[in-house]
Amino acid sequence: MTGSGTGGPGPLVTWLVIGGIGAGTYAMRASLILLFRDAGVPPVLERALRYVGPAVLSAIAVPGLLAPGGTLDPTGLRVPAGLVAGLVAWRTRSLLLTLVAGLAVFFGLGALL
Amino acid sequence: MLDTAPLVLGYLPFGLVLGATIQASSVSDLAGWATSLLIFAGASQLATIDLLDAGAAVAIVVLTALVINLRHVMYSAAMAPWFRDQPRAFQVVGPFLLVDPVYSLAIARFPSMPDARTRRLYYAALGALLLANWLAMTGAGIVLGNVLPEGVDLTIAIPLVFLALLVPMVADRPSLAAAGVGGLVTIAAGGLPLHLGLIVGALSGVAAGLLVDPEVRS
Repeated sequence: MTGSGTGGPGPLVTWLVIGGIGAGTYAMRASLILLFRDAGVPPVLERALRYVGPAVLSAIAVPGLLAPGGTLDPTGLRVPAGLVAGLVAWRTRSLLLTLVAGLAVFFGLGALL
Repeated sequence: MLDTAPLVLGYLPFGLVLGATIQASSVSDLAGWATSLLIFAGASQLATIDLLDAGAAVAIVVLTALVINLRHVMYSAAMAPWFRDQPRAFQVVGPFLLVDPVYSLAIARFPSMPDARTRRLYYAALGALLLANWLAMTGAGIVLGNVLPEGVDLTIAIPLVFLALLVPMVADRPSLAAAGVGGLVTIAAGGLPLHLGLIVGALSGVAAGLLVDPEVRS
């Protein structure tokens, strides 16, 4: 945790570091969009890109429900909330209904238990 | 822009904590707040502030933050086919807004949108709204500290939103394999430093999808 209030580089270096990280992050976000904008995406990569969506979304959603904060918590309230939300998402394909169902289970069970 | 409401709710605690961390650090409030505009990626902003405050070497700070953001190269690849029919100016400016939730909503919503203009407006409005909210939340955290009551865990909204976007994408066996392996390997790789678990998990998921893909197998 921070809070020392001391140490660290001066203001100029701090701004340069922040600007450099910002430029590098932008370069990564723009890299392949600009690289492939004329020639198109190579077929091999295009096939792989189909699976980036499900893989990345699951890599964010599943640990967030099963292992919040990095520790596996299979009996936590996030698990039933995620199961109900997953069922609602499957049946309705509605982001709003999915969220409402998940939050209702999470906070409802939290209030009961 | 109903899509952004749950995301704003879910990211609120993160934004406030980041703001409170900036306020308590040796980094000036203005420079710390500017990370929300210039870097615009919560986990790497938090690492940047922490390391600057701890007096880490400049190269370590920059490398750490950039490695945390490596996943954006994957987003850039996934967005590349959708950016080909966009104006040149948008191809240059658009990637600035390519953060986790923008990528996720765009990849989920783009296929059902009628034309490039609709996709461009959706992407731009979504990104601008999320950026404005992120600036407001971190700003509020800097000024007020973390004002949310203990025990109200709003962060659950983030995985729920990603789950809602994920489920309709799981339409066949390869995408199911990608999602299953992606989620489980990310948990298993949770001990890796620099948030690398997410990349390792996501790339494993993509590999699993390709392995099961009947066209790749034949």
